[in-house]
Amino acid sequence: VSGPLRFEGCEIPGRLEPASPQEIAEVLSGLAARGGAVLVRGGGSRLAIGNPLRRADAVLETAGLGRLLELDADEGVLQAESGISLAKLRSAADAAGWELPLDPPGAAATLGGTLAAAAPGPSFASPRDVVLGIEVALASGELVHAGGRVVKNVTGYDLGKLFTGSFGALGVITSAWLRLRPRPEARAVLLAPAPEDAGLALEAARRPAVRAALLMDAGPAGEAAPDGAGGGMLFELAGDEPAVAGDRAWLAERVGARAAAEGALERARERLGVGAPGGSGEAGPPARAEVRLRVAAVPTALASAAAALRAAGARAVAQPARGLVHACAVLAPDAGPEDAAALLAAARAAAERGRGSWRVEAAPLAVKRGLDVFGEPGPRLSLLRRLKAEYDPRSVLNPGRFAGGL
Amino acid sequence: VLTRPEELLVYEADGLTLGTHPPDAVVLPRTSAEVVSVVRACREAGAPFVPRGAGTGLSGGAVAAEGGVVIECSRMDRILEVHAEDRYAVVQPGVVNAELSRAVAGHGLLYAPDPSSQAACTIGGNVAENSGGPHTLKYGTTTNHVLALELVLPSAEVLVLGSPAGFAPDLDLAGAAVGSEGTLGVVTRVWVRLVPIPEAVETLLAIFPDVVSSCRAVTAIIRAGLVPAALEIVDQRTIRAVEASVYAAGLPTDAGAVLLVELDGVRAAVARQGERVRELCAGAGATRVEIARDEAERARFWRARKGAFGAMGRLAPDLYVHDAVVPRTKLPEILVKVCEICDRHGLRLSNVFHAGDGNLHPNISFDRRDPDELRRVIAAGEEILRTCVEAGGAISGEHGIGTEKRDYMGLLFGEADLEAMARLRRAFDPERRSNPGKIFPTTRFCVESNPKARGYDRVPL
Repeated sequence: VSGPLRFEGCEIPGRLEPASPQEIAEVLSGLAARGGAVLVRGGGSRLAIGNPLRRADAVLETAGLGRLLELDADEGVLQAESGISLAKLRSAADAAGWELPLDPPGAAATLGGTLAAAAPGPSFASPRDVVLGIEVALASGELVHAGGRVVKNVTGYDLGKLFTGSFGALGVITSAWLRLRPRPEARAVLLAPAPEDAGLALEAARRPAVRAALLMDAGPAGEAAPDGAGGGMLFELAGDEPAVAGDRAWLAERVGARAAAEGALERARERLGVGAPGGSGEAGPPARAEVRLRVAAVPTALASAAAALRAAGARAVAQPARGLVHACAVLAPDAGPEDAAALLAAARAAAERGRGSWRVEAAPLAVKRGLDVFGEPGPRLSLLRRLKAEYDPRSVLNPGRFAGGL
Repeated sequence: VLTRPEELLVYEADGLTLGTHPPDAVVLPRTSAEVVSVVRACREAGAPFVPRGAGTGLSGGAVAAEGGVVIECSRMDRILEVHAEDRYAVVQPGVVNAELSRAVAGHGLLYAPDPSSQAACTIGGNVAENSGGPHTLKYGTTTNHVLALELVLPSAEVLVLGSPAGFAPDLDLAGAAVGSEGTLGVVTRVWVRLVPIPEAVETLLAIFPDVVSSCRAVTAIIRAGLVPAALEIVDQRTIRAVEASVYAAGLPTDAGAVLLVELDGVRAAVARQGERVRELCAGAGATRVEIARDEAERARFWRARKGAFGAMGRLAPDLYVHDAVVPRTKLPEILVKVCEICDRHGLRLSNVFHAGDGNLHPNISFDRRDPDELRRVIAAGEEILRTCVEAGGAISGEHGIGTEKRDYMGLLFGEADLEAMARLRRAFDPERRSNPGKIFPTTRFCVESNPKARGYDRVPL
């Protein structure tokens, strides 16, 4: 549709914006027939996540699929197309008396992109648990469905789980049925000095009314350092009035938590984001050469994981109860793989000690070229290959970007 | 290894006693390595294999539908690790569901999914079926509690899918494998999430004049933003069967239905929610609402629910336990239709179900020795499934498809949808040797798929 754009060293000649799920399926089968490929894009918030793109004839945008198809307020479920923005979905759910349990960073985030990246937010970490049913356009040109609109369902394979977190490697999510949550009666956002004791931080994060708990190093603007001395711990409390009041008192007494400034949770959320992708075109070149990565570790190993990343030069945001650390290091603009080596080694070791996983979520192209950004798939690689071969045998979808360079 | 016909007899069926097929052999391994040897031998012989837990499944999932080797996991019953501080445990697949909760109770933790058969069913079977139970309304089903799996593929390759830390860096293959009914390989180890035992639990029993008003109370509770741990309905026929049995819970036998509500969480919040539930039940027409005063009374309330299947043994020699789901708000009208279907076929129906999830269990009492009655049971079952699908529902909420419902898959899914599932299967099991004959229809079909029913034809708002 428009002129060429560059993305991670690839020149992409055009842009496609199909207007319906059926059209997406047709585009894919057309491309498959002549050996073409696309880079799939929702809002672009997480486009930085991925191995270097090998080739693409077009950017396939889901912006034309922006409709809310149904919202059942009595049932607390909705169905929407994948290109709809989360902001729009959130306000629709809110107006019906429900809450959308998806809150990844990125103001432009779409439903499809959030699901494709299984993107956690501070309050709702598990998009896979929100999906009741899914519609996906496959590279074969088929538009397929799994699950449905009911909240409990074991009719056939749970393909919603397969596609949530598949980063567009197996198909393009075109719509989904989601389960909403009741809007909490009470809510509070509190900030405390970072507890010295990792055990206390974990105990605080696990209080029953706490649904977000972020242990943050001081950010670039010092926004997470209420006392100006090395970070803080931000809490979101939500639930019944007595439960929230009880935990507010507990947190005040045990960790010195006080009401946080307006917008503190939203600012903290963006620190879990990945920034602009390393492409040009509308996104523009990245302002800085950053390496952003994520380590998942069991809760008791999380504090040492964060400390190791910090020692390797990164600022970290840890979520103690969830077992997630997001870290960000700023490199020189001309940084090469060797400049990131210590940080990557720290992430790998922390994931191993924490019985978890690691992945790089943003990095300059030169750094990406030296590794698999999804961590090493190890013995699972042959299974990933077979899955890719079954769903996208001609590599029409995001070639090269997925784990194992698939 | 068991091979004598009389030894194989007990393996020809599971909890679904209608479709039977004996295996050629049964093996009882104790370790992952032994499972690998069995699977390797099956590969070399080109033989199918069928993983089996306790055999309590209700859809024929553990039956060797096409013969081959049953890999019975009951001896793989060790809890390998408990990480209380990290809130997970590593177990072998043959660990009995209720045993796991008992074993971790000392740490203040429990394993949340609690199917009705929890005293016998195993974690491996729960993983295969993505089992639910009364408490899934708040806590989710098995899939929400499995962090990782060790899977022996039909090639005898061993993979760990997922990790105890959760958050898969790429594909969520543990998520894709839970509920796959043993068709992707044999699960030999499971990393399960443990949750804290709630500080307070409150159990209410509301008596209603009829089942429709009890369903209205469920809708009112959900709409009010409450998330009880359980919302269960027991209908009049079931109440009478329970009261006439050893499970008698002192329920009024003239009640049209009882609604069991369990709330859990922080003490102060639970007490308030209890009051709210009481009001909502009264508003929906409850004639009486009781709150359990102690553990003994709570157990008595639950006896009415959990003893239901046992009690129904008194009604007839056989019981067909159906399983289907509809949107919760459609429960009243669907129940009326389900009763009408069974009346029309002259069948004895009772209902006991997970109302909060919209998960129906119409139970038909019958005598299989009467071929005409058996035929009517099957016909009514199909009509019930069609009715649920037309209401936007699904044909199984927690029992699985197995052999029982494989030929009804077309009610919900078209050829391309099933092919999308078959692609997943082929990536794991290209030779179709892991539990063949399950989930996928045995016959080709083309006209059954009903996009309207599955809700994918909506016009935009």
